[in-house]
Amino acid sequence: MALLEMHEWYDLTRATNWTPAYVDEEALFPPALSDPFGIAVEQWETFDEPYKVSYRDYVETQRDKDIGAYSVKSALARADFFKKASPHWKALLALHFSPIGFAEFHSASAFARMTRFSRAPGMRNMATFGTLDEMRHGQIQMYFAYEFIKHDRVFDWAHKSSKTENWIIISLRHALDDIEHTRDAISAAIMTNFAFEQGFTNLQFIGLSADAAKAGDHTFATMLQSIQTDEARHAQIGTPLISIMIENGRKAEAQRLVDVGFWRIWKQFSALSGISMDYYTPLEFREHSLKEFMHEWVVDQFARNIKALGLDLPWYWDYFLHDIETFHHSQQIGVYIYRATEWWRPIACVSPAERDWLEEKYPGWNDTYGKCWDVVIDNIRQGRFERTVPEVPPLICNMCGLEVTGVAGTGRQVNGRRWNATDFHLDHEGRRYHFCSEPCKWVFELEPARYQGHRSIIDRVLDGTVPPGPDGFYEYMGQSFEERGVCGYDYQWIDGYDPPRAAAAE
Amino acid sequence: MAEIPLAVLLEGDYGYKVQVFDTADTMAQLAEKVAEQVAGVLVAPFPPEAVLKVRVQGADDPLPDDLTIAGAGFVEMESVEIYRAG
Ligand SMILES: [Fe+2]
Ligand SMILES: [Fe+2]
Repeated sequence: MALLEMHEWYDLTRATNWTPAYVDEEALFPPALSDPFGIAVEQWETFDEPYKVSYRDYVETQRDKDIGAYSVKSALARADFFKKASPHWKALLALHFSPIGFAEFHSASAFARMTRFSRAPGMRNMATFGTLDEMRHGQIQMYFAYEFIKHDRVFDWAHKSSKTENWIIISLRHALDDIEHTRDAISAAIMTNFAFEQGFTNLQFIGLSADAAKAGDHTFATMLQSIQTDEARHAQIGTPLISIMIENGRKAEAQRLVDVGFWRIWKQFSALSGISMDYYTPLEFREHSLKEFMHEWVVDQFARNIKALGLDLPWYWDYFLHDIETFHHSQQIGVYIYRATEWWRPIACVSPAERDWLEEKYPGWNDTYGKCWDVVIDNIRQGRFERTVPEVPPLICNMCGLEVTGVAGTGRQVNGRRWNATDFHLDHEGRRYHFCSEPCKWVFELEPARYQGHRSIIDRVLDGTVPPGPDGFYEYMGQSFEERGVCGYDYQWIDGYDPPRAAAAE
Repeated sequence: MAEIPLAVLLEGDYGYKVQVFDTADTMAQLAEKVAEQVAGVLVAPFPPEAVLKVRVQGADDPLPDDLTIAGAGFVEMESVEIYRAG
């Protein structure tokens, strides 16, 4: 008997809403979890997924993708790529695998909630596949990371990181809990599938994969592409939802979800992809700068998607354009100088040649961030290693959990830029909150009750949650002595600075 | 006299630091303590003749050198900037 074509049966089988007999509709789909916007179920039933797939096709495609990724991996495992990789590439792999692996796996839970609570049958179908996607590529990333454990204990953190109170993990978890795991099915989907996945995953999974292919890490490149095809499909859940929201008079609510979700995830990608692309990728393999990737995929493409849907650009768009060129440069300084608080081996990536590249891509870099690095470099050259690490901790944003930073420099007018780090603070119910940016503060002010109880890692030091003593901080963050980051190049990255100095002395 | 943490930014640094002071510290002492921690680590050491001033973030003018933290009425984690006069 011949099988029907998908278009002949899809609409019929998608109509899976029913009239509950044992409980009422509200008990089955509590508004707080299913739809706080009060949109009629008939409207949700108009959800039409842009990319339709049957379970049979889904399984077949996923199986082929797995075979592709795993066969590349096993063919290349013997090549001992990792052993020969530079500290640059090792740091980049660590920075990708250790925060992301388990976070992806955990996303399966967010998609499963969409499947359970959405009143749109088409969305439930897509979210079911999304759940399976996140399990697949959460597992694949942990499995691929674990291959390296025999060479490097850092990759233990692909799973372990999620269970620790390390400051970087607190930052990531706060953002993902906020947008994926603690909202109703519709809000979580708009924030996760639209703002996060359509907005940013190209950056990490296509941009980084291009760098990886260039660097000859074909296992990593293939794995990243394999993940991106999952993301590209389930990211589309967001688009019909936004249309339904707008058609039913909920544009302002949809806009706010996009604005909040986009900002929260930008901060994470700024640090993660920003450091990966502009610093950790070896100079000869850099395809584009973060700024160039951001302009192509986010500022142009994603902005077009936003407008095509009938939404506006987020109100902070100009500030965001400025942030693309600034935030990650400061974060990279902090990540290097506070390296003991990280589990991998951070690298500085500011050799003379790398600085030339940074200056070319970000004019003014040497007169701003470069000034801080000059002091670090001088201390290393003079053998004052203890002065390369500040004794005082940084101020941490009470929203994004990253450092409160700005444009570094001399404090005087420099190339039109000024030393301008601003702590956007707010006094609320007897406590002073600090924010790295106006949008981080704005997110807090929208829902203070939602955010006010959270304490940053620095708040936890000050209130005694973190045990005192030299080891208390590391123990709290789950880092044994061996798990405290040291310079990935053992300071030898400054060698490039010696010839010019010798030449000057002659 | 009591301990008080403040959010401090030394001119030229890439970001804020958190440092604990004594409420009896004057602005001059506060500036010196911040410079001890950050100048020569992230900001080039200041020349000996440099005079450092303290202002609350967002303010135009510095606070008097001999004003104490208690006298200035800083709240816990007040944000202050330390910068070179002139
Ligand atoms: Fe994913
Ligand atoms: Fe922030």
